[in-house]
Amino acid sequence: MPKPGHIIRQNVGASLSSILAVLRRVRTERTSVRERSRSVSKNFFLHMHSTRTHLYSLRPGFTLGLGFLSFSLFLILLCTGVLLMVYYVPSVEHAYGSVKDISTVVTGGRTIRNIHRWGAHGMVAVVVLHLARVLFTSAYTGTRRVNWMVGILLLCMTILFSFSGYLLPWDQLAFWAVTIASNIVASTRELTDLAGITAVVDPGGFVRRLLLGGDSVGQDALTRFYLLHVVILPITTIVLIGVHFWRIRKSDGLAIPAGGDDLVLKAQGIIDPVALEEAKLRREHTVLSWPTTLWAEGSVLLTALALLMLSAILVDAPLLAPADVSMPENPAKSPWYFLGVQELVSYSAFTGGVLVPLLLLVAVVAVPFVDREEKGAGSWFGGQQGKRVVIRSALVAFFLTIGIMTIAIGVGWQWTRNAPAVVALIANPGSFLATLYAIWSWWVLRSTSSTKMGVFALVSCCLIGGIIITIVGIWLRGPNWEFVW
Amino acid sequence: MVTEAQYMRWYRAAAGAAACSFLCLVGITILREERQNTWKDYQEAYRDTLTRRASSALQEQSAMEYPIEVRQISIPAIQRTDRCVSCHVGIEDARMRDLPLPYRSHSGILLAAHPPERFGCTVCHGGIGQSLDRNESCSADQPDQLHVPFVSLHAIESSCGRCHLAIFDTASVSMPTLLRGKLVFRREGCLGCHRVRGKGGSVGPDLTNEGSKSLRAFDFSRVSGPQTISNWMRRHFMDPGEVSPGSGMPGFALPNEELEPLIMVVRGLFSSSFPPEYLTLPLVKELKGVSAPVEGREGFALFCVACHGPEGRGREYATHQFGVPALANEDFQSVASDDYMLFTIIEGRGGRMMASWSSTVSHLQKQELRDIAGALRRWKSPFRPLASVRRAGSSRSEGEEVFGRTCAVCHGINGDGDLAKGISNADFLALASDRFLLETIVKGRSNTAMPAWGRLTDRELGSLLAFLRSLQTKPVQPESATRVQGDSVRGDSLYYSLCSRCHGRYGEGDLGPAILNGDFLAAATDGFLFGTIARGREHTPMFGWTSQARAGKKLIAADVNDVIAFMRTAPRPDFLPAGAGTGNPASGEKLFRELCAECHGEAGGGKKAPALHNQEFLGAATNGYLLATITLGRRGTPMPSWGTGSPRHRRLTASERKELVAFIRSWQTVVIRSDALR
Repeated sequence: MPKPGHIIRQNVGASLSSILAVLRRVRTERTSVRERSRSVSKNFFLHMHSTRTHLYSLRPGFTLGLGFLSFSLFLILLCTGVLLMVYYVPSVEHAYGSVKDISTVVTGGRTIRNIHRWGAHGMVAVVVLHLARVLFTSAYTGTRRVNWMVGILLLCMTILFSFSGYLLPWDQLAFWAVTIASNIVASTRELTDLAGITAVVDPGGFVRRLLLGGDSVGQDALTRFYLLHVVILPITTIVLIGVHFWRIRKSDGLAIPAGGDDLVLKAQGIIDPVALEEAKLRREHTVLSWPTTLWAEGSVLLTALALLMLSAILVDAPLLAPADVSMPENPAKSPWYFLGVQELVSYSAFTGGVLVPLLLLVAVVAVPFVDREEKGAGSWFGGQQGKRVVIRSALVAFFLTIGIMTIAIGVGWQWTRNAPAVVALIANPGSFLATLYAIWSWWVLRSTSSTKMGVFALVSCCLIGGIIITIVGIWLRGPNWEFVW
Repeated sequence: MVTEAQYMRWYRAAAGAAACSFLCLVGITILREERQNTWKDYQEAYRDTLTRRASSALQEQSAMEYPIEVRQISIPAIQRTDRCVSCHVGIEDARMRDLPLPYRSHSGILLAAHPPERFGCTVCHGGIGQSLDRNESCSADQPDQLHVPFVSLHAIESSCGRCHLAIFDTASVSMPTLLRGKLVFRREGCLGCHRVRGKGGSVGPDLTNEGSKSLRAFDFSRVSGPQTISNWMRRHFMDPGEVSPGSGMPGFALPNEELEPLIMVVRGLFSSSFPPEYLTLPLVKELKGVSAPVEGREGFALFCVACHGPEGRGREYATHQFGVPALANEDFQSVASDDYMLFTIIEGRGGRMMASWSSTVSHLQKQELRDIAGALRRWKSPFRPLASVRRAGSSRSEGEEVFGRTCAVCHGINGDGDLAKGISNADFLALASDRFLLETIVKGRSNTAMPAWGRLTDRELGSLLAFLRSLQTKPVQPESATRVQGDSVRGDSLYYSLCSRCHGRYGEGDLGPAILNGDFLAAATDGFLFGTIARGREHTPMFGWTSQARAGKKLIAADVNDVIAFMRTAPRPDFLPAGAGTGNPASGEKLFRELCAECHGEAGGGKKAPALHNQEFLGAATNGYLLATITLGRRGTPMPSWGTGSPRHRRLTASERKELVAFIRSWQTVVIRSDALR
């Protein structure tokens, strides 16, 4: 039995020599399989990877690198965030000034801040795209169900991250956006007021007070949001990311289509079915993770870095006038990922702000429970039928959403103004759209007799609808509604 | 299908490209930070200047070592961090006077009294001190950064107002433009509608913090010309309705040399959050609300002039949308009592343009309001003592003529009494001395129908006295200044049970004259009172209370003394009792509709004349006031004299006038208890 120290020295040596080998652009064939797999499995930072990766998983067109892109953005945000923490002061008297100093005086401060801000916006978008990718490749079936939940949790973390960070500059944009959002949270009162039980049960009000530490946005809110943003959320997210990656391992790597092996082998010219089976067993279609997968991931990270740097140079992060309680922004706009919600909220606070997002969340969490079909898992849209369903649903959602929004904005939704509150709660664009999407998905489900198709239909509708109302909220509201990123 | 080697190439290439571009971009960022930092260029150029201007080797050495770094002035006391000196490097170096901006030293002598390390730069110049970007820090038109407007140089004196401008303090400020502007501000009555530092009216917006409003707070949609704050104010002063539609502010057609300083003052109004050691003492007091009380005439100028005019001329009801009474009108001054004035000032006129100026609303102290009401009396004819009247000489026939045209309208021909008491009464004339008569005539009886006749000349007054004396039949009692001693508490119950039936519960007059009237009690000696109560007035319901003849209860001298003691110390109610002078309101209504509704409105709401159907007005105006106004009219206004008649209006008899008053009084539904009377 070799002594432990001998093993450690051997492994460190192995890692070092493989790193050096890679750096010297030594062709991979020269380094032994053992060394290459040890570089991954014996390395604390890299051992989350499996030592072998399926070739299919490396296809850029398959995953689009979105998962790792989210992680890269998270890392970049973490680093730039820590750097920002060196100068940022989370007090209402000094927050604005400290951010101003970072942008004007601190060497590189402007760049770091810009990277952080654009990275934050980017991360929200990329995480949603990653969810879409995972969904449309049905990578939530079987053992991946738990990971799907973890992913949804990470999505919530991302949005909370972005939301809590939004307040920190303490300028007019931040202050009023958070005021609006916190009031949307409290809009369950619409429902409880109708039932007359607000004095007893007021979940929205409770959450609002929990977030703000009081009844209005002030020092307590800033402290809590800062705490969320730099302590609670990072720790939780890092743990959840760990779980997320570990679950990928437990599901034998990224989802690949059932015919993935066949495709690989056919490309290599093996068409004989027996040879196919044997080849599958021999796992010839996987490659050692070191260094190919690492290069794939590294290129994603570096691309993310380069793109963020470019955006940091091109556009400066905004810093409006310091927060002034007596001068509300007119209009006050939430961050872009909430603007769709704000759009719906303008017709009914509860439906747009609480009900529809909750329904979305429930729908998205329920996807792996509704769709248990293993067929078609791992490939985009699970085949031609899926592609058709998605395109059709997208078109349906497109026209429905534009139609209803045109009516709502063009003609006006005044008819519920003098009606009892219940009517406004039930009959508003948000609930109409949700109902119509549900009806369409149900119809797809019945006509195709496939839960997967129903799920695809619903999610496509929600995605397209969400994009459209977000676009409306950002750009199409009229001259006074200039949106500041 | 792609092989591993292909993937490796792809991803290595992608990573390489990304890494290269990242490094390029980092390089670009570094270069940009170098290039775009114009402050570095300025400091380098300044260093060269210093080197060239060095007059010794030592200076040259230190000039070459001039550090290129961000410079700032940080003043936590006023929460400012000004980085202006990063570009404006030569600001404190007197040698740099001839250099162009930004190297030039500060102009003028102000920097000596306002050292930058204590004040910074943005305190006076505005702008974003923390910024190092020229557009942000000292440009006049940055849309995002307009919360701290950069003050253009022509308006720089307005910044002085932050520490130096005390509006209510009479001491002058040392800045010439602010001084001129302050005089204009105090002269034009701006605070009649606007409030500054707690004092003033609430018709228009509060101007306390007008100077810190950013450009964004002004609506420029109807302002032509340069889109600056000064220009907005200029246009607004000239035509407020054009710039702010719906505004009730009148236009101020001031010449330029008054308008520009006024704009400077308005832009210099700040409710400073600076520590008190930065502010002048009058300003500190003002911001705390403990400035010296406003004196009467100044108060009138500050608060009332915008509506009532500097000469008290008011605005004609016939030609203006909102008429304003002429306070300087001679008839008004002679008929309105001090109570009336103060009541109106404190209570206002509900539903009309005259706001309430009570302390809770205007934050003016009661004494200040009293002073302002007193200042209105400068338009009233002054009191003349008996000595000066005697010197003017007299003539009985002249007196008779004066009486006929002035007094007979109420007191009847020969003074036998008509609307007012008969003054030819023998007992009255026996007790009334010349001094008593003169005081009554010249001062009037406040809150009764007897106006103040100060407009009569000394000779006319003397002649009147001579005429009245000629009506005398009983010998005159000599006047004595002895005061009686009595028990006022007993006197109170005696008064209540015996006198109030005719003289009114509060002595305001009913069947009998107003005897708890301040003017009356000031004019009448105790002897006069004793004589009147004890012996009565022949041929009138006032019988002698000490005689057996008709007195149900005989009073002895001590009782009379008690009553007199009570009268001298009787407390006044906190409202104005209506007093004597009413008749049948139904007939009054007919008369009103026929004669008065044309100007005063069908329901007395006021059309081309003041509103009479107004609770505050009816609370301030006693029946005597109404009677006197109707009888005398207001010369100089369309209100005719109904007592003497005129070519266009017939003469109203005494009972007709009383019926009118009764009808007007019938509109009163509440009794307003006012602080003015406490």
